[in-house]
Amino acid sequence: MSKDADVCIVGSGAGAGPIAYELAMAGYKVIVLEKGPWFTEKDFYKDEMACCRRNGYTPPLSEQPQVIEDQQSDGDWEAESNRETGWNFWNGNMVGGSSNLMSGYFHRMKPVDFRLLSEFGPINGANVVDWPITYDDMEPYFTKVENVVGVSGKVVHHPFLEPRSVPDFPFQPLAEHVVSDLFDQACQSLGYHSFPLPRAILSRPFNKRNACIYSGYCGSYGCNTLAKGSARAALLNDAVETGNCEIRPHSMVYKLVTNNSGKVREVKYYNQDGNNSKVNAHIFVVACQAVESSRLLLLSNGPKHAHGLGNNTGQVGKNLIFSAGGVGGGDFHEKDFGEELFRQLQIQGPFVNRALQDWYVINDHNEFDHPIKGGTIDFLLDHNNPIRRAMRHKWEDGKLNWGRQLKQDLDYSFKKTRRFQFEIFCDWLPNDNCYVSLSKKEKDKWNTPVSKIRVGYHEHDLKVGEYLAEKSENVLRTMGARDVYSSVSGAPPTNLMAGGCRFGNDPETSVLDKDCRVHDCENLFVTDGSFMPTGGSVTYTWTIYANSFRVADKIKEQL
Amino acid sequence: MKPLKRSHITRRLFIKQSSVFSAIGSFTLSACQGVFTKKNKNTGSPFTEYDKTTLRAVFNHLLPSDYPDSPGANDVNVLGFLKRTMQDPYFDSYDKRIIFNGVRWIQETAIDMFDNYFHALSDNDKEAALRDLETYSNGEHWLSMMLTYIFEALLSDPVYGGNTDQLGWRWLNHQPGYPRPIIEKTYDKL
Repeated sequence: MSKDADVCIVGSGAGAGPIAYELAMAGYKVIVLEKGPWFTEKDFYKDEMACCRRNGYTPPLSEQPQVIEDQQSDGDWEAESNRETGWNFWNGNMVGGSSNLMSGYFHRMKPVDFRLLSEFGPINGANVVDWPITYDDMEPYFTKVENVVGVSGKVVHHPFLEPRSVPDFPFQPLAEHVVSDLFDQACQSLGYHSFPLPRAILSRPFNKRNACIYSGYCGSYGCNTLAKGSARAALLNDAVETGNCEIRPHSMVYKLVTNNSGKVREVKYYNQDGNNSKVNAHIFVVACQAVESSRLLLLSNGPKHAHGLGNNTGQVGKNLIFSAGGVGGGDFHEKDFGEELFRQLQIQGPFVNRALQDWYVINDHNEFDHPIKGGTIDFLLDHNNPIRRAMRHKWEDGKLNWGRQLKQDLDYSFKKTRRFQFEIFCDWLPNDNCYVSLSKKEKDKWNTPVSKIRVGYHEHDLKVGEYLAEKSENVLRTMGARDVYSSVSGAPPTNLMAGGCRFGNDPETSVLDKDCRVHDCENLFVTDGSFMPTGGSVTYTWTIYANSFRVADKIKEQL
Repeated sequence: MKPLKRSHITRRLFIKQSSVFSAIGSFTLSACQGVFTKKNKNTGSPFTEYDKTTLRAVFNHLLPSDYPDSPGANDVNVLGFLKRTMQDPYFDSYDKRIIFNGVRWIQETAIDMFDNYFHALSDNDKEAALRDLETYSNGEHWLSMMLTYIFEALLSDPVYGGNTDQLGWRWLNHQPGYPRPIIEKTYDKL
């Protein structure tokens, strides 16, 4: 029977892009359904209001709310709609998804990340498991991402450098800021091993994409040169050019319809006019980012799936993870560095691009009685978002700051200081209090139940985060920063989510098989970060890209 | 970028506190409001002339002008920026209510404390009135909102109606990124 497409993909971000790219290039017909609009590089502006102060790239919470459930100080769980709280878990709803807005800090996962349970043993209250595949299975695909999406960097050996099949990155490192030298010097004096942070940003033109022009506005902003390796710039544009891939923006999928044998027959969606539409295909791929992928499966009950597609063992939505860790920083003052060096510190554009992974595994008997999994620390200059910088001066000693004192503070802060920051990434231990379900009360503008997200964390995550924060603070103080601070908490970073449909060999404890196919639905795959049972101690995008390329090969075998 | 969790205070809480606070000084409200209300008919502005005069005085106190050395809130058109913001189709109705209530609260506080309009008070008396308002949680919340709008008007792209002649950017040596937003592609038109 003739189908609309060989493959229909729901979502268009990092989990979707490689599938569309690989299958369209191989001659298969692909339809991509994306809820958001289709922006091009011409639609992006360096506009702090659009990216960071208002919901320019995410839906209005009054129309598409989510319910967030977190634990109160008395131990009770309280669920509230983010219509009320504004606690927004949406990210980059547009063609290419949130990869359009990423900073593109790209680290590979390491072999140890694939076997967390075997390496470190169980942790009470955490659902730690080994992955059903190994680093060796993923390595060719990490390499493929370097070449196809484009990763710039330079391999420098350090104690936790992962094995590589190729000696170095295909794109040389981006231009570096003067502060990178100061950072290296400080690390050398402390005995830490600083290394260049790889970025999914082109340092030279490649495949109709321009090189980075160092605008100084990267993370949270769309890229105007196509240098940033978003799924749209790096993959979907090429997929569309083959003539085999059709992208339908403003298409809100609300159900995967299954037949009596439990296979997906078609997806139903609302188009831009609000009318009901559908697509049938041989194979379906869900990649709407972790929370919404779980939601879609839970909404899609059918003859063989009474409680949601893939949910016959109650696993859909469970073991949602974020990136644990925290943030911190400190200020460089002109009076400490002198006018000339400070002038260089004020330069915008070039990147810091430095990271530390000395404590990817922590083996410190003074702090922990056995080795534990640690993490990654990335370092950066404060984003050039002036409103956010000014907001730091709103409060002074617990009171609102205004008048001439406020003006003096702003004047000094902007003209005489530069903030240097760090971000800590460690494993968010999967646990029974972090999951997605469907809200019984709250609905979106299409009258569909919305996601309810419980955001419980494991105390162990804080210990790891605090350990790494102390090391990070050492570096900043050695560099000469003042007012060094850090903030480690169990609050989830809403732009770094994964899990919810984890893969594994046992259908009783996982949703997907090791090829990311739903255990009891042979023509349905989930390819965003949902598949990850543990997250590794790095940002997720490179892993999502690599895995999606891996699954594309499995889909080709099945077609 | 790793965002931190937004301060977790619910609207329900504010509304509850709001009703208590609004009782304070309410008997003076009508007396001063009527003087200005009639002048503002049919202008399309969400504020009466009295409100606008009060707001300009509040803004000027929170970020005073030292023009041309450094701009104050009114030099960068915070009131115009605020009015534009409140016209966004998705502007939060709760926030709108708080903004209007806050104007009433500071007007009432000025009359309660000094038997005069806020805008007519000396700098010292304005400071005392605003600090008094700050002692109430709703008052503090409103003042915090006003400071946020001041920062946004001071440092957002002039396409949003504030940052007149890029005065905010020029004062703080801020280099904008390019391309800058155009009127057809502001956040409310994406």
